[in-house]
Amino acid sequence: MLLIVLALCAATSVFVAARRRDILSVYLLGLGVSCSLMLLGVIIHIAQMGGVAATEQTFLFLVPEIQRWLQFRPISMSQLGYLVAVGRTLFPWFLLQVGLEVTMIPWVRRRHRLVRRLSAVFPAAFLVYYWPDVFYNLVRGRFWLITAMLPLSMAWILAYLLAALLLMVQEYRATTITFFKRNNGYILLSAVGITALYLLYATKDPAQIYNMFIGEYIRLGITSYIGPSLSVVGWLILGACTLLFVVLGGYGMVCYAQMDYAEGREDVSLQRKFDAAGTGVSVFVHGIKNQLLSSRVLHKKLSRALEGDQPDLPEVRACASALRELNEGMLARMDELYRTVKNSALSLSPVEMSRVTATAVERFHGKYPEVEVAVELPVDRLVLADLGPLGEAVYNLLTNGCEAALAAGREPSLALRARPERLWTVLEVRDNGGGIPPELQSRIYEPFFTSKNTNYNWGMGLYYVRRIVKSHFGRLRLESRMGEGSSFFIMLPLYDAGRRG
Amino acid sequence: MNKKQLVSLLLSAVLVLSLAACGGGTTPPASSTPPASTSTPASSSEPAPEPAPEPEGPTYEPATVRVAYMPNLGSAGSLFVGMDQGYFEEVGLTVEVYEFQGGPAEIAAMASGDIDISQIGHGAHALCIEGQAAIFQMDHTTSLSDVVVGNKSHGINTAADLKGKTVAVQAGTSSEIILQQALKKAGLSVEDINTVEMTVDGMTTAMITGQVDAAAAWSPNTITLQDALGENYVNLGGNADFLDSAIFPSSYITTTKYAQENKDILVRFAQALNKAHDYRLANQEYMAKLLAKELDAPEDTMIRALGEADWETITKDCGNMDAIKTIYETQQQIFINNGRIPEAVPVENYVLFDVMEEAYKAYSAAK
Repeated sequence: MLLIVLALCAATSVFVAARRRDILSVYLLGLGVSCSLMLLGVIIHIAQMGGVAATEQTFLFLVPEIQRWLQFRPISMSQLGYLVAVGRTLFPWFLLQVGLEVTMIPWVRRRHRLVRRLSAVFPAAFLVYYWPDVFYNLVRGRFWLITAMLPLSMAWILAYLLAALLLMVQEYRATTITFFKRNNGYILLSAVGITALYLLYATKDPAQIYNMFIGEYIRLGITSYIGPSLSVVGWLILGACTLLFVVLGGYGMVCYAQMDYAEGREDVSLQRKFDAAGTGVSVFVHGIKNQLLSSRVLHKKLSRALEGDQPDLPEVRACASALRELNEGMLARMDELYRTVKNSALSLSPVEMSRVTATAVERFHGKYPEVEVAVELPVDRLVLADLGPLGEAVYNLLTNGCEAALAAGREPSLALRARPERLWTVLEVRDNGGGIPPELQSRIYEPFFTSKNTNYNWGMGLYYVRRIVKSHFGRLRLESRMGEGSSFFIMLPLYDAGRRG
Repeated sequence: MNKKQLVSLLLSAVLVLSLAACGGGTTPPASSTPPASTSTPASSSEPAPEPAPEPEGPTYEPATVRVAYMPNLGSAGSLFVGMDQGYFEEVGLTVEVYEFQGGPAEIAAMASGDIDISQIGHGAHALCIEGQAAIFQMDHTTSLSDVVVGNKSHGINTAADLKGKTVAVQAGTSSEIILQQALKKAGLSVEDINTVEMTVDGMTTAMITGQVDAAAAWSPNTITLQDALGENYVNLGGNADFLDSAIFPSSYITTTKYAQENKDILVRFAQALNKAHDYRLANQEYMAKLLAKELDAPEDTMIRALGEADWETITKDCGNMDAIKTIYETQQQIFINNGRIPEAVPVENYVLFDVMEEAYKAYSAAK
């Protein structure tokens, strides 16, 4: 069974790394692979040395044939022992890297590189110590080293595991945004599951597999990997727990991978859709052409009205008015499309959040002067932003919210709230509209997607907002409840004015 | 010293023979059909005649013992025969068996309390001499199962050809001692070869696939190698080649703690073993078939491995503590000569003669 667990563990890690392709997934892959290496080595060792009771045999190999097959693998004990030593030594290091990657504690993040380098010292030293030739020459005649190094290795391993898990728990507890909390929760879950699996055999000394100083190991009372003393019930409990750990860990990892994968897919899909926006542009051109044709008709009407000695003034006025409206409409559409597709560079500079909200509210009141916006700014943090486009993006969200409330037949109640969240500054735009149905939530960012009257909307608003937010190295998330309203979260990286370099 | 001890050993053997203490004519009838089996955890399904009604004997407090063995005739023979024939049950013992691939691993498991009793070969006796465990019953006086196997296609025809070659060996086992003896005889030492630590099954595959040039293996793997290598198989030295100066007994051992707390169980266990030794000698083919079945090994291989130990002498010497002491002293000398043990240790320190003697008396009385 442990073999299946091991295969699951390795497969999940590879799946996560293949899906996410970020540094965190690489560490998670390292975690899964190192744990699998250690367990594989231990399983082969036990298969070769024997001493397993029937229940343990099932726990480890499922069927006796697998044990028999492993038993005959021509692997030297040095190779096997070092395989276990490598897995056992690298696992805590990888777990700590996961912890360091996840944490948003400023003190740690500022010293990331240093902490990473320092954390490699113990694993590197123990990988050298466990190299079979080094181990043999070091320990021969100095058996006190075994008794000294074993607790030392356990001490740093446990310290790494504890530190990593504490960092993850702390991060989980400190996060309040649902999306990030869930994300951290999955990582924590997978880490706890896989660590429990790792601890099954991590307390044993892998050097005993070398079979070099077996007498000394017995004399010193160092426990071996073979332990048939567990009762049937004991093995059943252990088996159930192991399965639980791996299922929890695997579930956490897969969910974690899927979350970002879904987001990544969204990006890809949006890109594809915008690439296909040539179609949209042709629709746009077609629309404009129609309007130009209307304009030609109006011009002809105007010319006819002006042909006589006495111009038909009412007709001229009507035509001029229609032409003006047509022209304004076309200009507005042109502006909107241009703003969306132009590849303008942003100029980011430290800006107080209050200025961003003020700009957005001012613009919003230009359109809906009578609608109030409740602005909440508990702390006025600095963000790195281009005030114009960011203000425009927030204005877009406010407008959407207001129109959603009006469409739902409600008095608009809009709130704009900026708050610090770990290493982010989050700007929340909340409305009391009818909410966005779940099936539409993944489509609202698509260009040319709109649920409103298409004469006035080209469906570029949220696509534009998302683009602006991404240009600010931020994220845009949505939480919506049908009938209650929606909240858009613009999450901008924390700007730390005190940081050097 | 060696010669002296051997002489005394031989004298003891002669003395014992003449007294016919427990062997010879007292062994069970060497019939081709074995006596019946009683229900034990590893009983054979082979049909056997009805057992003769047992006379009323002493009653025993039931106990369970966890026993480690290695999957070969020399190690598992008496244990499985004893279970098959119900000898352990007769003395109130239920036996749980655990298969290991080497004596040191058995002792390690015993030291951590997972195993009560282990059957070990010669090599692991060094650990007993060092005080890691105590011997309470000899299983056979000498093993003949260890062979240093060479591959002729790798240019190895004699032990001298091993120089610079890669040899698979498992430290602490009897075959390691045989390898050392073979190298010594050829004027070489372990420093002259490249040793690779492997289990006996691993080295068997490594030999067949040509990954190593030679291997210090033991029966029945040596028979597997013989079949697989064919003409390229060469015996570079085995126990039989060194019997003029050495002896390779195997024994049942336990921890000092277990011995102190469970002397009665050990006596009963040894008593059943004495009986099993007699049966083993008289029904060798049956034992081979039984073990083939229990150990999931080819029957033919097990039958061909019947010569891997001296099954007879122990049945004659089991009551002669002087002879047994001499065997263990001679064995210790091998470890001293090859540097494994720094200085001589009184045999009484690690051999529980009182258990052996008591078991022998109970066994004799029950006959």
